[in-house]
Amino acid sequence: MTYNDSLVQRRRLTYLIGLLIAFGVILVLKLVYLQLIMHSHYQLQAAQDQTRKYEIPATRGQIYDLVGTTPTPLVLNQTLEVVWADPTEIKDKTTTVNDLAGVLGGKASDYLNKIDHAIKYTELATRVSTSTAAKVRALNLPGIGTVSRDYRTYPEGTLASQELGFVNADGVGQYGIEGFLNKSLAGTPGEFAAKTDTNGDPIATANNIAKQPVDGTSYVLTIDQNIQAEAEKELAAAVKSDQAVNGSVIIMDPKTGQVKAMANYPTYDPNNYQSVTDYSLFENNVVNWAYEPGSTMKVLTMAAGLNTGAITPDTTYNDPDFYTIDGQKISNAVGDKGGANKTMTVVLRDSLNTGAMYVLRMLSGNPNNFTLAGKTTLFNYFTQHFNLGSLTGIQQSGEATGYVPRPSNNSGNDVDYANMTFGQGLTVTMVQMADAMSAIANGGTLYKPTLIDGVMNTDGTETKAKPNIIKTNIISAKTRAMLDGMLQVTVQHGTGYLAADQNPGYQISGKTGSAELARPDGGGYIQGANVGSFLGYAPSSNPRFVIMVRINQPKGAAFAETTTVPLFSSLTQWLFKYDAIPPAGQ
Amino acid sequence: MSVATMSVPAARRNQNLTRQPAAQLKLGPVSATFVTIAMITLLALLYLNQVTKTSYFTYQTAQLSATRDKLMAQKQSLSVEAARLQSISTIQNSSVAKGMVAEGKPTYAN
Repeated sequence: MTYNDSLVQRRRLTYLIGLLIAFGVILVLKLVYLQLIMHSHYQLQAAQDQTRKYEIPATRGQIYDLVGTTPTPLVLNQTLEVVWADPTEIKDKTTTVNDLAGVLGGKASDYLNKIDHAIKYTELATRVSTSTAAKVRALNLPGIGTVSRDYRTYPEGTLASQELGFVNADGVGQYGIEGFLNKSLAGTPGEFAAKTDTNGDPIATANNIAKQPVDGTSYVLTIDQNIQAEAEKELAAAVKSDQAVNGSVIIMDPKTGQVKAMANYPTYDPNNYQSVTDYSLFENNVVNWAYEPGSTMKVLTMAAGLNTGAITPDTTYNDPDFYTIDGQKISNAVGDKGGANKTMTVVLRDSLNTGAMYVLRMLSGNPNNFTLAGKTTLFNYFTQHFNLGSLTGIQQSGEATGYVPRPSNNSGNDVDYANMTFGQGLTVTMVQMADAMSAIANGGTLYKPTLIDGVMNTDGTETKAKPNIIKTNIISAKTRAMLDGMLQVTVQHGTGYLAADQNPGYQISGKTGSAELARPDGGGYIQGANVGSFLGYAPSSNPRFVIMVRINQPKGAAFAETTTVPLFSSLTQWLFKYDAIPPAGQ
Repeated sequence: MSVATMSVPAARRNQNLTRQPAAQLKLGPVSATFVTIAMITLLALLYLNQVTKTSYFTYQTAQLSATRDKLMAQKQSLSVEAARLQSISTIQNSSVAKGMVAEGKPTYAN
């Protein structure tokens, strides 16, 4: 080998080594890039691939009502099982459904029907107890399985159903308390993040992150279970007896704004809400239905007149039986023929529409006409003093505000206001009226109506909520005394006489209301259809409860005194015994 | 007759007071391998012992947790059952209630 050959060989070797070194450097640089510069990126990607997040469901808060002063469970949670079927896996349908019927009960044909109409999955039975589900599993039927599911349980069945609402299949509260307080009742689900193996199963490591769920708040309602049950029972009997479309009752404590009972008939069972086809049954008409209340509104009209000093209980007027306002004849109810020197007390006793319109004239400072100032005063009393036309904020989904027309000098406004004085041409809810009457009963304090007595703590104690005062001095003590006297006369000698007859010795204050039912399209009133109400409180001197009852479209009865007063009277009689309230003077 | 004799060198002073260094322990490659394997096995056994204990406690915890969940579910069911038994409709339809006499008009003491 010559020197040159050796040199060439050495050069080739050098180039080869250089190439290898360069390749090595590139590899190292790539490794540095991947492992140092892109470290975070790949670490994150690996974590995302390997880590799975699981939601830990929060336990929904329970709901209690009161028996006297003791909270008792009204809405509970229960974990039950669902029996499902996969029709593609079932080998012998006849044997399968017969075996299932033997364990679950029910008809084998019903199970077969569900299986035949399903493609891949169908639920054969829900709310199955754990022990029954175990028996189903023990049958070892191909294509049949069970799965746990949390259910909301209402052990009292239909009791207070519209107030409570229900929880749908997605776990969301609907209507009533369940809907209004859904977020608070639902709580906040927790989270569990863990590294998983190739099967996706979590691996127990110290780095797993768990965020504990925050369980929902449990509430104690102001509803007295016994009062609620009695109200529902009496209401159902009254609606059936009057052959009415539906009825409602609200019973309130006038000194706190607490609602002791809120009943509607017909009703439904929230345990089986899925079987309800008439969705109007879910509505709490006490809160959701704003309607023209009729002559019960005369109580608030009188309150405005008395409190401003425009009238007294003994102020008289000559009743012409009708007034003509803007060319429209607005008269007393059928049967009244007018008369001279009728007092305001007689106006309430006999429920005279002309008398109510007279109060507005006196508010206007003119016994012959309405003025804008008078209408404004009435409007302010209705909306600012008694809060009509506004939400009360009671803990119910879908509360209606109602509507009170604004005063103006526009054509037709006088007619509207004439009608408003006796409760037509404006809409209110029963809870608004009961709240307003509570303010009169307690001497002038308007409370926020509430269904919440307090929060149930995890240790079984209750943190009580305080009454919420919205306004004070909405009427004076003098006004209260005058108005109470007029309302007692109405019960003793007027349209509320049945209440007095059935409760001898007791002082009861109240007013009936019979209103025409407005057409849903707003084009006038439905011929022959009326809504009867009675709004009252007792005992007069120291009211313990305010009751408003409503019977919607009773058959054959034109006036509330024959439909609502008997119901009011029965409830009052029962409440006197329940609360051990003696007659006056004892 | 000749007698074989062996000459014995004379003993040196302090001959037997000098300690001879102990022979160094030397492991051959095979022995070293066996010892290494033995030590690794021992460590593995110790580790296994600890992990088994941990797994046992984890299993116990899981079992207790499952028992707790079962008891909670039972408590839930019993609460619901108790509420149903105390419900107004159940009480009203009970034989005790049906045997009761309706209340009359109360008389209040002065």
